[in-house]
Amino acid sequence: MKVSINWLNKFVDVSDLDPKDIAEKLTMCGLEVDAIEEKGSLNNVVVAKVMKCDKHPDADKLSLTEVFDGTETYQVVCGAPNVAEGQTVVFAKVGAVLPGDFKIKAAKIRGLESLGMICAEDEIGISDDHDGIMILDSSLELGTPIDEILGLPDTVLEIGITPNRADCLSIIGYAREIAALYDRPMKTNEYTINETDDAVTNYGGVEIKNKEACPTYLGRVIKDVTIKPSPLWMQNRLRAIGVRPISNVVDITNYVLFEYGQPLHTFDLKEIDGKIIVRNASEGEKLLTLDEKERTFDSSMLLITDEKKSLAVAGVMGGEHSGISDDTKDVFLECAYFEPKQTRMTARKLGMQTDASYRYERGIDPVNTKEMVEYASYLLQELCGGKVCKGVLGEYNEPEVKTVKVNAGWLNGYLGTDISIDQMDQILSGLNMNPIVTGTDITITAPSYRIDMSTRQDVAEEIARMYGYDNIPTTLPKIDADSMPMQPILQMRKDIAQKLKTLGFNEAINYSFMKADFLKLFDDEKKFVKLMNPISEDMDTMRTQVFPGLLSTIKYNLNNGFKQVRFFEFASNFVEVGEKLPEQRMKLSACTAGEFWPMSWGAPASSEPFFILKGVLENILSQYKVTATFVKSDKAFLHPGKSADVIINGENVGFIGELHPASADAAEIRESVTMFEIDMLTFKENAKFTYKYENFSKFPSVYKDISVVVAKTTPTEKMEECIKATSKLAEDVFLFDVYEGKGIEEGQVSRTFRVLFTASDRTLTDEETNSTLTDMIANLEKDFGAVLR
Amino acid sequence: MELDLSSIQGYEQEIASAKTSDELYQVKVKYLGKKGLISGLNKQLKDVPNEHKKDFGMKMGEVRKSFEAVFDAKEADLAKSEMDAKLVSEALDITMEGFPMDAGSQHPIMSVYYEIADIFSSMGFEVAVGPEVELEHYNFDMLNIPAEHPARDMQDTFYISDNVLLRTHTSPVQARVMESTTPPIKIIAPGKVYRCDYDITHTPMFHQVEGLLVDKNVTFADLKGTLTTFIQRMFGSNVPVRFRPSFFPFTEPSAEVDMGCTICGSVGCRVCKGTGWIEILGSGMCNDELYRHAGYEAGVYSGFAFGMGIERIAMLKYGIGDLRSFFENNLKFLRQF
Ligand SMILES: [Zn+2]
Repeated sequence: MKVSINWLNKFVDVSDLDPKDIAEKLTMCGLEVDAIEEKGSLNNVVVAKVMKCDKHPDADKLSLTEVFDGTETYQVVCGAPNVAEGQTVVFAKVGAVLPGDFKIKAAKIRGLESLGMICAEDEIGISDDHDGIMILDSSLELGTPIDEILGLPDTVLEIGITPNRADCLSIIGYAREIAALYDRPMKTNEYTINETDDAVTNYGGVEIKNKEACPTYLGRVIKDVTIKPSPLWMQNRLRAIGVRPISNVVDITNYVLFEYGQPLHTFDLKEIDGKIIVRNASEGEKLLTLDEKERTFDSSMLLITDEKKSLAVAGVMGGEHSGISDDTKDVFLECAYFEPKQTRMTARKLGMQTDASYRYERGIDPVNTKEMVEYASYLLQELCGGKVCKGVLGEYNEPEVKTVKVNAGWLNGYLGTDISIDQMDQILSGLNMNPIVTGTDITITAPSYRIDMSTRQDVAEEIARMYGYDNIPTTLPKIDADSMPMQPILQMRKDIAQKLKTLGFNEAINYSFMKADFLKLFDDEKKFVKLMNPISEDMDTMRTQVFPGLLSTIKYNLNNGFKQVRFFEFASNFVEVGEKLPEQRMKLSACTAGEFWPMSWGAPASSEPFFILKGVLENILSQYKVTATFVKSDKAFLHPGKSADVIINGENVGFIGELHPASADAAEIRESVTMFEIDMLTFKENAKFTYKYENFSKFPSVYKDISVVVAKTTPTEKMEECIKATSKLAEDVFLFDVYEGKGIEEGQVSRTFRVLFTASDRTLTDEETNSTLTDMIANLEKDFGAVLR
Repeated sequence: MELDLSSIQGYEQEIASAKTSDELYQVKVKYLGKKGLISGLNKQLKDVPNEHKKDFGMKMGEVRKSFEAVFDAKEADLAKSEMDAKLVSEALDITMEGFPMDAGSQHPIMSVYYEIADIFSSMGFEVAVGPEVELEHYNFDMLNIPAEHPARDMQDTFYISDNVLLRTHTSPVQARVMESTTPPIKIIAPGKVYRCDYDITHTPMFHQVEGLLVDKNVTFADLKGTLTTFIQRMFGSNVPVRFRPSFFPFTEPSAEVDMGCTICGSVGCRVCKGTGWIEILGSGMCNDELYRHAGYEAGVYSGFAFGMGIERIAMLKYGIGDLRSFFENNLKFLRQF
């Protein structure tokens, strides 16, 4: 909300205060000032009259005028289409500086001298209107500085209001806070209504059918009003806070709304048939509202109606037909209290938010309603020449008075402070909380506008913010907890990320939702978790697996010119399993596309990406003493010959493999992609985080090689198992070289295994290892038909 | 009778002019070989009278020694220059690229995530996690945000079904912990959260860390101390910190926590909107309603909760201007971290 310092002065004297200081204090007591707007003086800008207005001889769209400021006449070339002889206008003389550092200088325009400028509203910074020059009331004295007319200078604070501070949706709300912060008295708002003898009951009545939703509804009738512009002081105040003046009656309702936070509504009395009835809508009831939209209601919504028809949406917006128009003579003034929940629900269902509904939803002062019907009637009497009929229609229900008891010792214990009871008493009195101190207990009765006060924590908050958060000590909790180790799964995640980073992978984070059509390439739609209100079709389904997100990352980067891309991502998957919540498990996915090694003179000859990624995965698993077995996978989105399911301890934890060329095509990825995805939770369950040192042989180990030719289809893993099973001396076996081609028959392959021989109690002799090698070769021959090469 | 050394006069000259170790070796053979010139001096011995033989023999030994001294010096010389020449010939173009041991990267959000988690872990907070698709009950109701509360306006929620949603904050993790645990509780809950907002300053998914400390006799001063310690460990021990009253439905009193703008050093800039302060955390003392929802005995416990956006901290830390770049996964972006 915007707050004009000049307007604040009506309620509390702030004329000697620096607005920046006010802003700082408000911010530090919970009313955050987002912006400070200085509306500076407009020197050399005065009220003047257009004495003569002719066409510019050399320019169609310009006028040549003579402007009189009460003492002198100036020749001015004016471009505004609406300039005319006899107008009272805002005149910026040579030497004036308008907002935006626009300096007015003597100029020649199309050959004619121009000594000043007739201003439009935007040029003097009071609105964005640039349709034409601003026309002033002809009764203003010529030569009056425009500052006096516009109430300048002024400073406007723009303040963000938290939902609990409904009392600060008004100028008076800020005045009260400032009065408390600076310990200054509030000024009273003096006015008197001169009621006529004409009784209001002659013009109708008020019946409230739903008192829960509307405990208070007051109405007055003001006769013989004259619709015209409101006085400049009111226009200035409204303009200062960004509200456009319209006419006196409308401006008065806005003025009271912003000054006191009390929404009002004015009906044209002649449009009301019989009495006002506050009731729930009947199902399907319709009304054309002021914004010229036809609204349809259901029975949960509250309406203001008369005996024949609906007139307004209670607390939200009036109807088009019953509103004030230029020929309105007699006004029915509504000043009511509508319940926050009711208003919120009605406004929400209708998709409407107005300045009135915004305040009712948060809760207006339920007592002040009584006062506001009087104040608004007074303004209608003074500014519209209205005659206020005798008496008030409707019903007022006093709200329950709430008291809260709080113990000073508890309060200091809660805040960690040492504030004296006297100081608490003083703070609470300043906020009109009417504190009563009994021993160390304080009982407060909150003012009616502070609807947020109901618990001891509410009182603690008031004390804390007025005492100043800055003045509260800074301590550390005395709680028995040492440094906590990170959860195993998070520690694993962190360590694996470091490892993958070192291995040249880049960590990506993709949105958890993707396009259903894309996910369908990889999973059954029955597993999908769909959003009811997605941002777009491209983000309407939660990922059932993590890698589809990485595929889009790959595509994006390949399209951006990268030739080799390696990514990994940790994320939850989401799978519909027919329970309240979908299954959500942390996954690790990694992928590589294009050349694995960078293009460089030093890069190794290209290797099969499947095995690079398999090596990466085994490296990760081995850190936690986990070994996986790899069995042929039947996943349709993977290359049937280059894919495997990953099994840990008998459980399928994921897959590794090359994306099927058809899937790559569908995903619009031009390079071959190899990837793995594993379930982190199962991995974690099998991970060893602590382990014991194993004794190792102090005697030297020997490497020996075996080269054999076998059928290509023979699994290497099985051959290694066979070699190892031959002798306890074989500590380790690995595939050292693979060769096929010249000298090897079609369908056959030569494999060289390197065997590491170790004995725990002696140095091995050549005879011993050679004879073991012979046994190994014999076993390979027996089991796989291997032929020594 | 004198030893006749005329036959070996030339060796010093010959050694000096040897250009390679091969040439030098030939000189050695010529003089010291079995049939070499120095060995040949022995022939003179048979003509020497017996009483002089000893003297003569010593002289021959000296000749041999002199030769060897000159030879060894030259041999060392040659070895060194040959080594030098070899090293010169082996010189690399050291400006060629190194072996392509490509470094990967860690996502900046995750770097900040772990940094925050490490700081709080060292202060005794346990890291807790929970589901991202969550029940409305934990996301709103247990946190004192009833259906009609205006605070629900502050959140635009993605729904899966009527009472299942994408969590809008990580507070439901705290609600779940409170429901199943009696204090003391000292946890942080980092993770992904979701709101339907997508523009230049909002992404529909982002990351938060929220924290909760509940015990007996926890004070607002403790909240200040804990969060000041965190911010100063994260951003430097000299960073000013201020606490400002605010409102959250699940805390009271509530505080926004600002730190001195790290971009301009608190003098005011575009990032801090000229105030010199940057909002970094939301926090507050837990509303008694939270304890009621968790089923704790009334009036026994107090505690505080706080929350922060990881992206915002990463943006400040690395000077990243566009929030959306975190989720584009452009390698030009990622490789900087
Ligand atoms: Zn700054």
